[in-house]
Amino acid sequence: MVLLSFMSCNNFLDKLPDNRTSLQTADQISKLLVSAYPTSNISLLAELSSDNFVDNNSPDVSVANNLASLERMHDEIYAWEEITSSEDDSPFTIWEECYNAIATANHALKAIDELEASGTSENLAPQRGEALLCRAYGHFILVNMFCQAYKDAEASRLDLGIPYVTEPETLVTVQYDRGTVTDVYEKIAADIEAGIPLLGDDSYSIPKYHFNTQAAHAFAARFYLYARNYEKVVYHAGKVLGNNPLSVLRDWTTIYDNSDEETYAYIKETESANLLILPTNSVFARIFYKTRYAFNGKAVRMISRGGPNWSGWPSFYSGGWWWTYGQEFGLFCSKVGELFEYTDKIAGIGYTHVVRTEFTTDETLLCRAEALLFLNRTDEALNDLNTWCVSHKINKPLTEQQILSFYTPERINVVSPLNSSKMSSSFIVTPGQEPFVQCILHFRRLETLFEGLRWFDVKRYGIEIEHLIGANKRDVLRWDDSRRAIQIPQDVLAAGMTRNPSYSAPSTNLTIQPAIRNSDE
Amino acid sequence: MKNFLTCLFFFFLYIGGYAQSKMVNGVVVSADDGQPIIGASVTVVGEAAMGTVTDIDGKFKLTVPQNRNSLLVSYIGMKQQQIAVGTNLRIELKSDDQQLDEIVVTGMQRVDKRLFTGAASKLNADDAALSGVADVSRRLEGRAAGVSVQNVSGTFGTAPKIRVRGATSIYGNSKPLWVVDGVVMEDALDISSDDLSSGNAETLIASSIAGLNADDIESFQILKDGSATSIYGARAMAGVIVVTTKKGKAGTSRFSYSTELTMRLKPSYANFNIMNSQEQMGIYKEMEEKGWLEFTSLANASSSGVYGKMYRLIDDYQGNGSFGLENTPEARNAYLRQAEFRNTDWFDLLFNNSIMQNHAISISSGTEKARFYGSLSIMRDPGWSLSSGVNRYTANANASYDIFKNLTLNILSSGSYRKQKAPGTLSQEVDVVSGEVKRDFDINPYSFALNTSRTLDPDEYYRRNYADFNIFHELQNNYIDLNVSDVKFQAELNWKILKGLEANFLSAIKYQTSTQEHHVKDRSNQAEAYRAGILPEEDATIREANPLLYTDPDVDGALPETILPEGGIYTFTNHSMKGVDLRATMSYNTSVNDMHIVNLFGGAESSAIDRNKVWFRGWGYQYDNGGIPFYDYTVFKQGKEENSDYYGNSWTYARNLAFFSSMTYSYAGRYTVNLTGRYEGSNKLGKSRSARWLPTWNISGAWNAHEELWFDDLLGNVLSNATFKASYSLTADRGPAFVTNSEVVILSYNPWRPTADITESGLYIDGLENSELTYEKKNELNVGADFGFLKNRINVTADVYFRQNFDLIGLIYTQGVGGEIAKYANVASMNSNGVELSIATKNIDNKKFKWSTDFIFASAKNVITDLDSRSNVITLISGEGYARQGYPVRSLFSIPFAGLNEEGIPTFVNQDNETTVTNLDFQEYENLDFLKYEGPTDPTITGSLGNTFSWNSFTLNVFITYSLGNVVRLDPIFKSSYSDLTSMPKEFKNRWVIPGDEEVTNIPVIASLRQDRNYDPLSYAYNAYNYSTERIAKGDFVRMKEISLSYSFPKKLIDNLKIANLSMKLQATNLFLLYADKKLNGQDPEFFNSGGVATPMPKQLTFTINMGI
Repeated sequence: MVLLSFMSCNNFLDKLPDNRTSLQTADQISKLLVSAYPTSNISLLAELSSDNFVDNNSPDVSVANNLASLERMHDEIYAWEEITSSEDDSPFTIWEECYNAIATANHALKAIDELEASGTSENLAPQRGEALLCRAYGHFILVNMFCQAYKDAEASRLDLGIPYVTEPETLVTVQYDRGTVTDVYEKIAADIEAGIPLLGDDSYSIPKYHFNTQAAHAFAARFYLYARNYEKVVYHAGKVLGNNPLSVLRDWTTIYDNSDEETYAYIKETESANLLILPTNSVFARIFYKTRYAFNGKAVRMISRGGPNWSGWPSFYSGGWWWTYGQEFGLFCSKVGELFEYTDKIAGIGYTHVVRTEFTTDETLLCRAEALLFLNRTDEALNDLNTWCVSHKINKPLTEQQILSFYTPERINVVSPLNSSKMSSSFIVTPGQEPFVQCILHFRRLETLFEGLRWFDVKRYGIEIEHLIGANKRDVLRWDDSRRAIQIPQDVLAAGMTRNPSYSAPSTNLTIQPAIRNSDE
Repeated sequence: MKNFLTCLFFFFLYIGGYAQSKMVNGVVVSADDGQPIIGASVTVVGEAAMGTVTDIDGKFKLTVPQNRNSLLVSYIGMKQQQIAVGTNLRIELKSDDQQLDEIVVTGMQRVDKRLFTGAASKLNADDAALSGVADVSRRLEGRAAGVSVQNVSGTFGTAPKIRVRGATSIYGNSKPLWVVDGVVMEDALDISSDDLSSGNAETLIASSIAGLNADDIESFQILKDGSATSIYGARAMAGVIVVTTKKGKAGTSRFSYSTELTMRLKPSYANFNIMNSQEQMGIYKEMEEKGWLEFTSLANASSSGVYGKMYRLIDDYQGNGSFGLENTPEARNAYLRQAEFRNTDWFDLLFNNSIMQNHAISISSGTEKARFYGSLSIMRDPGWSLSSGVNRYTANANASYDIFKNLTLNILSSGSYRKQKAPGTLSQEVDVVSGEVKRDFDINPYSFALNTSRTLDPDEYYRRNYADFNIFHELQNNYIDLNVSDVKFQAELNWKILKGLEANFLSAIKYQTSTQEHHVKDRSNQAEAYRAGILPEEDATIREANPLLYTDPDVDGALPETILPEGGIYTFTNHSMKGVDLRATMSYNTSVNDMHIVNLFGGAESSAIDRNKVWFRGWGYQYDNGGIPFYDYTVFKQGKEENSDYYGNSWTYARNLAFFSSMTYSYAGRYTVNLTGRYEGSNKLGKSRSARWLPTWNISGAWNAHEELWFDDLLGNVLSNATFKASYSLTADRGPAFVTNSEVVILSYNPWRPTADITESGLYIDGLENSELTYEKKNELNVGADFGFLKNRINVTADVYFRQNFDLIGLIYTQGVGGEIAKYANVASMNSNGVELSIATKNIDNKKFKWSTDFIFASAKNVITDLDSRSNVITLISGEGYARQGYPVRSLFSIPFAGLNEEGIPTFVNQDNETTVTNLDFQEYENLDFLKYEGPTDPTITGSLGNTFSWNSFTLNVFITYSLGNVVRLDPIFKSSYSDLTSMPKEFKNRWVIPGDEEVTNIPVIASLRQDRNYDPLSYAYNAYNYSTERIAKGDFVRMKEISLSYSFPKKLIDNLKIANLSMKLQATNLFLLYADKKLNGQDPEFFNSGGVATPMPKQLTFTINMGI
């Protein structure tokens, strides 16, 4: 009797307290996966850490000093210090958003398992495929941001990874083991391999905002490039680029009237070059409005000093460069234009967004070129680089000779010494390959400007970079510097996560000395 | 064992006395209602040890020695009677107002006060008769120890912030549970206690009590400690307020009429230190010299006052070479001189003294079999300020009928309808970067009068949001209509199954709906702002600058267009709440050998509350043209692009089930032990079956020393009664409404997308599963004592309590690998303690002249002992304060002010311990130790002092309330740049003017345009100044709450008119503050001037007539 009444009580109390829902159908799982993509933006953290940005207050840059940084956090990032903030674009949001996307994918996978176990008649394979790719992608961002670059299976077993999560969390506090970079890379590979065959583009209403098949292959191409599994890069990139890559690359010839229009054009989902588009909550675009750190002066020289088959300013960005408060205070390409979402129109309050074109055919093409080079298919690599030039309004063909003669160590604005062989005994760049690698890195830097990928290239090849900080500080990030792995967010450390090796005792001596004026040529 | 021996002793006494004794029996009933009195003591005069207590039916049997002839019958709260012995006696005890009330109503049970072991305060409606205050919850202010009532807004329908023994939760509400006639009152809208002071339109329906007619209320019972509240266990952590409404009584027939006429005084500039227009114009002149108020910046500025108007007149070509105003220094000076001497009295213009009327009639009647009470009331408030006003109608019917002698049916229905008007308002928002609390288009008359320059011409249109603005025009064209209706149907069946065994069934249905229509009419400033720059005339500069215009991203080179070419904006919001309550209880009362009193009580209850909110915003509704919508498609296009909705419909469902029981044993009413337990289930914590059930309990005891046989002999001369109580309990609450994730919470949303054609709807994880989620809990130890000295001429009640609140919902920072770094979980705890003291004395008690005094004192302190608090600077320094480990729940901090610099600009000590002007980070989370702790924002000491003098038929009542121990943030009035619209306080007279002044003043300079550009951003400095150690005051106050003089017509005068009673009363409420921190300068320490619909409690005069036939 008591038992019976308790059972009916529980039924009475089973009423959900609000409009919440549970996952019962394939459609609901598809809808859940809409939120399985991180809404954080790695650009600010990665760009400010890289050699793409300079300090306007350092003597090297001929502008008025004493510009305020937009946020205190930007000073910390630029000085490669531990970051305490948890605002937009911070390591905190990247950590939380990526793991949130992963959790969403894991909840979807759990629901799929349960539905399949209950013998549903619905086909849940496309949802499973998307969830696996989302899970792999979230971990991919995390491992590249918060760990040392992947070296090889052996060497990376010595580097701390990040927890690879495959189950929903059900307790308030859980202690996780970081594992190693190798572990993470192996699990990402497993999820990608399992996920791609299951994908079905028909299951998406807006495919470009999901891991459609093309986006998944582009992701695989970038992942295997970082993992240096070059055969796979060529395979997956081929799936993206088809037989006529030029037909799917971005048309850089269009010139727009104002930056808003270019912003919208760049992120358009009908643009064939855009494979995966991710809206993020970010104030990154505001950094360009007369703040302390900007892509300016010296940084402009890095790309404006010509290329192997062009001279001066690269023509493909010509219509799309905008600047405010004079060029020296920061130059930007409106692909990072800020878009505003009102939560209350009348009160004028809402969120700032920057839309990322996470995977593009243009970048995938450069992945393939790099892979082909290391597979010793140099002609095909050169062919891809030429295709890239054509689509980017560089009309002169690119030859091997031009590459060899342009990318020489003296050309310090575009060429940086590589330390890949120190990172891994199997990562040898032969003297013959090096100019090509430098060329590809140069093209990648132009292609992915303001997207944060330069930082990963710097990490992958052990490129040493320097930051001039304020009036008299110069800091060099050595190839094996512990600071190449961005420190785990402070709150996460406080909750017991293993730290990245301490910044106070870096593995090599820092050179901090009065700044020297860097020679231009 | 000892008890058993005592039993035996009495048994032998009984046997032994048999031979030469006589048998006496009878029944003791109340003279008021003829109900039997349980537990009345009957003793034999001259044989102190010989006596008994009455049983559940009020009956007693006693054997009396032959030589004794009289009995003494007594009962707490009743006048004792001596009567001759006899058989089948019927003794009617009259209530004795000088004694404590005999019954404690817990809303579920009526407990004999002697057997009650908890801390509770009872208030008869007359004790809390604050005339002219229609919301009865406000009448509790200062009336009961430990109950604090903060009138954060005085607008009708808004709820005061009520705390019983202070805060019990960090993120939860700490709102007491209201129980009216045994049924829990549910708010139509679950507004957190912080939001009560927000001034948002929702606060108008925050008070579920606002629909109650004060004249219908019989009494309030405030249950404070765990013993009193434990029957409500898992809902009662923050205390329970039990309201009992009037019922018909057998044998009486009565018609009553009462009317209240209330006049509210207009606020006056004399009470605030606001500059008059001459002083204000002097400041404008200085601003002009400093580069502000220039033609170029002001003529097209978003908002401007006198100067902006002047420049536009100069610019206004009227043909024939003439302009609105000649551009000569003479003409300009003449124009400004007019403004200088204008001295507009906004308070006088925006407020009025109109009379608020409240009429109530009631009829009550009863026979042996049936009893009835019915009432109607009408409140008509034409509004203290413009564009406000309330009409409220209530009806109440309460009938009970004895179907059989042992079966009574009670049916109760009550309803109220309210129509209210309020100035149009939008919700307030905090700009986290600058730390400014903003409310756009605010037209609250009170804050307008306080904040608007007295140089403005009230008949003139100035500019706001690029459109013409005049407050009177705007109040007429931008307002909220509110319609609230509220009904309750309740039936209760009471069945006396056997002697002592009683069953009770109760069911109630409640329905409340409130419709809120915000009318923004065609010509209102708020509507015109959406077309400024295009309509009524094109202005390219404004068109470019007006943020409310829309630029189509899909059109190359598109110009900003209006989304509101015609009409206004109509916003409809409906909140409704439906509740069903069911309850069944059983009680068994018995007394063994007349000495062992046992009460058993148990039952089950369920409640189901469905809340619904529907809203809709109609653009382009043409108020002026017959109400036809004319909308532009761009409204929807823009809405889609900006991801904003134009309608919404959301539901919440609350389900509760509880089983409870209580056992009381009392030995002869002297020693009482009580055990109470409740097992509560709720759906609020999600589907998880482990989280949803919670047992709560209480154990308590009381010792009625005055029932001891030795008491009278030993202490009788001084003490008339003495009771000691102690309880230890566990009670709980469900925690803040937003934490319900015992299973993963998945909600739907529309993710933002850059363009309208690629949107899709999705689901997201709102909260990860927390399988450990549970209720917030509280252990409480309460020790109390009641004393009556000198035949109860002096009554003292004192309580001390110690509380440990644990499993409180707090933020915890995790590794975040599950997807959330910061989680809300049961991780926080706090300790609190307090002392409560009530002293009631009858200082003079003559036939003609009486003087009584009531003094109430309560202190409540709390400190958070465990919280991983990670609040940032802005939350710690603004408004109501914030929770931090080692500090009270609502503690307020300040940025340390470090003096003015040599330019008169404020400087501060920042997080890096440097003295700075602008290098402050309001978002800082880590280094918070540089902030100075100021104190809690909740008062720690509250209470009152009431004196009543009566002489013949006149009664004078002087009632003072006080509240101490908290701090108040002064209004944020300082800015890096001021407009010619804002008024300034007189503090500005002492501002920094010339170098060297920084030695003598802390009032910063009016910054020049040059300074504003040099310090980037200077607004940080001035905002920081608003939140600095300079801008804090003590919240202590002593308020003359009420002075009233009443006159009851003597019986012989009115008997001829067939009137049973007639009285008149004149009362002044909220007259003045006897004490407040001087720094407040007229700012009410209780009131949060947050704009919107918030207004302070007015000073008012009320004339009341009560008549009974």
